[in-house]
Amino acid sequence: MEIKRYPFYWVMVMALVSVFAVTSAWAEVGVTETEIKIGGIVDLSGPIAFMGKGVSDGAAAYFRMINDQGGIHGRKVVYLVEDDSYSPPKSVAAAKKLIERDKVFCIFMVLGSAQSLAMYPTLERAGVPLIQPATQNSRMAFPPKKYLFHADPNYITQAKIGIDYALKELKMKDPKVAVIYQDDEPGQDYLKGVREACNHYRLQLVAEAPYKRGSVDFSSQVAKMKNAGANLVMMWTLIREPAGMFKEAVKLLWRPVWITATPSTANVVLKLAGDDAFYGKGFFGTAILAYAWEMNPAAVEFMKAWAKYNKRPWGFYNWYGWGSAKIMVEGVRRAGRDLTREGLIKAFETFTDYETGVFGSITWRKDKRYGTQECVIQAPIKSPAGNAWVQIGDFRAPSF
Amino acid sequence: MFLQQIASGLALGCVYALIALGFVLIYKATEVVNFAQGEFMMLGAFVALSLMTGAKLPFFLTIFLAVMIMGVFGMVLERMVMRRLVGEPIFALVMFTIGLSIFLRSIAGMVWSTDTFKFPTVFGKSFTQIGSVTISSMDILVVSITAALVIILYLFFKFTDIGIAMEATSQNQFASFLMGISVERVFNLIWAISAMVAAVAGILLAPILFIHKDMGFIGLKAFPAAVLGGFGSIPGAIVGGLIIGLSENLAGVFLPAWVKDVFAYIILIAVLMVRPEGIFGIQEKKRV
Repeated sequence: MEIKRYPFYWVMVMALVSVFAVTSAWAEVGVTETEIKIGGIVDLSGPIAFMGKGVSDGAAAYFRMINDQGGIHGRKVVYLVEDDSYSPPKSVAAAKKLIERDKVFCIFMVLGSAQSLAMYPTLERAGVPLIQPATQNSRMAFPPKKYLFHADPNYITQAKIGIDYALKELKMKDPKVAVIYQDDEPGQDYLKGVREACNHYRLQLVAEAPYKRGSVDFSSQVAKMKNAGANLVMMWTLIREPAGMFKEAVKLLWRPVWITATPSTANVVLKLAGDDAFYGKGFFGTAILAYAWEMNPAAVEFMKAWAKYNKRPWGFYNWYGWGSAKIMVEGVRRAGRDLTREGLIKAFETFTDYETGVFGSITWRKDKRYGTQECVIQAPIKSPAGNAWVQIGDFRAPSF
Repeated sequence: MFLQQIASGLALGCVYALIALGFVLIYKATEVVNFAQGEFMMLGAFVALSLMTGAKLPFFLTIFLAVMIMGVFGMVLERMVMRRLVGEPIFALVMFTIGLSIFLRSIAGMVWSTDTFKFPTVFGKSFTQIGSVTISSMDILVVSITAALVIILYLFFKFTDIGIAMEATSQNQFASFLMGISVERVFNLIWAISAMVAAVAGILLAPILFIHKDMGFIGLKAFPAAVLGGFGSIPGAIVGGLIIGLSENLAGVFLPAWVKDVFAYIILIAVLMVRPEGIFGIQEKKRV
């Protein structure tokens, strides 16, 4: 018996010693002398895999650039990306895996609001912060949650900015508003924003036309809006839907002003819609990202780094991921060399009008977890190299 | 307004019908419901896209080649996999086709990326005005090719030897085997034909659906069309598709907004309650 017990005690002692050795060196999970482990969860194989791949590639490029510059306070970022195929239960499993097995310091950029909200209780229990989920859902920051920092302006805000723009810049007299939206949570948010704006400005909301995710035919929705006499269409759509709607409008010889929320302000939308996008009295988008061109130093840095690390041309979602990673890195930098999860939260709460050059200026406080309410207005231009969105005017917040 | 919606509904109905046709063909001969039919369509569209933009072939050659390639794909699939499952419970075959659909979607995502593509069509975008109704040339093309395909397939099953052999196989595999019909060859051909029809559908619908790895999900709407028409009937697939397309569009305008997307299923349930075998279906009587 003596002989058998001896190795057991030995193991116990070794274990205790090693635990103390590790904890005394670095008090926080996922942080070592030379590394910070950051976990990301996006869709890489499901319905919006193109977005998941886009945003995570963009973030990876930024982290790589930071690492090549020597890291943050001497630590390199290790970015671990999990695939959840856009399914909330899988996101929760992925979050658990990242926290318990990979022992990440924090979770960064989860793609999707349902996914983020599903995993939030798990993160809160473990005390793991979730930084910049890639969604514009209003429930991210309302009510504020201690471990969740969200930068993007939500869809309620975007709808208000869109209608502001139609009245103040386009100077539409007596607009008759119609709204076409995907009948799910983000679409409902947008609808809510349009209703609030119409109430505020005492405008007529003449038609509400929902469609189901994955719809390919919009003939009845467009006919309904036209028959209601609408001349301003607010739209919450993704990539393929605007093409279908414009096609119907051309068919019915209908030329309203179209204003879309941010998901459709990608150039591929214009490529799919072709000339139909220019048929109406104008097509505008409330974009949450600054236009990436030579006049924007942040964009120049991005394009340079992107060309260095990737062979493919960059896209809208890469730019988004890049900006999000920039926010993440700034937080870690502000948290200092003695990095802890609680310290990271305190660091993010010091953000006051922080300019990324990608998003609007970001402010976070103890009781304010939405970063910015600012969007830029974009409009498509025709170009031989392919039609593209360009920014018109600066970042603007809703006026009410 | 009413007539315009009917015109749009007919065009949408043909879209459903074209996909439903693929379901019906395979079921007719083999009693297997191929849940990967939508993915066959997606694959056909991607193959055509690669031939057109990658290999820069002319439009009609592209279509011809894509349809042929998909035909070979259907044959190989049948020979390599489906034939090994002959005699297994139908349940196993259906599960296989569901697995296949997921597999094909993933493969397409890896090969052609997860982006959405536009198929460069040679048919200009023009509109024809008939009274108060505007019809796009694309819709006319979809309707006429669907009609042509149905007539060709109908004649094939009615008058050619191999077509009649297929019809016979669908009614009684064992008896047709005893009558000297090569059941294996029939199965092989029907998978090829079905994949070819899917390729035609994929190319034809690319301007409407666009080409992306999830375009096959439209099959979920085409499936009720096939059931509605009576799952083994070619004219049934067309009628089913048209009914669903029409009713969806009319419901979208004249009924509350949420009704549009469930209306197809409401009609399906209503018809199946009155005529469980579908509109053109023949009640099968099997003696055990």
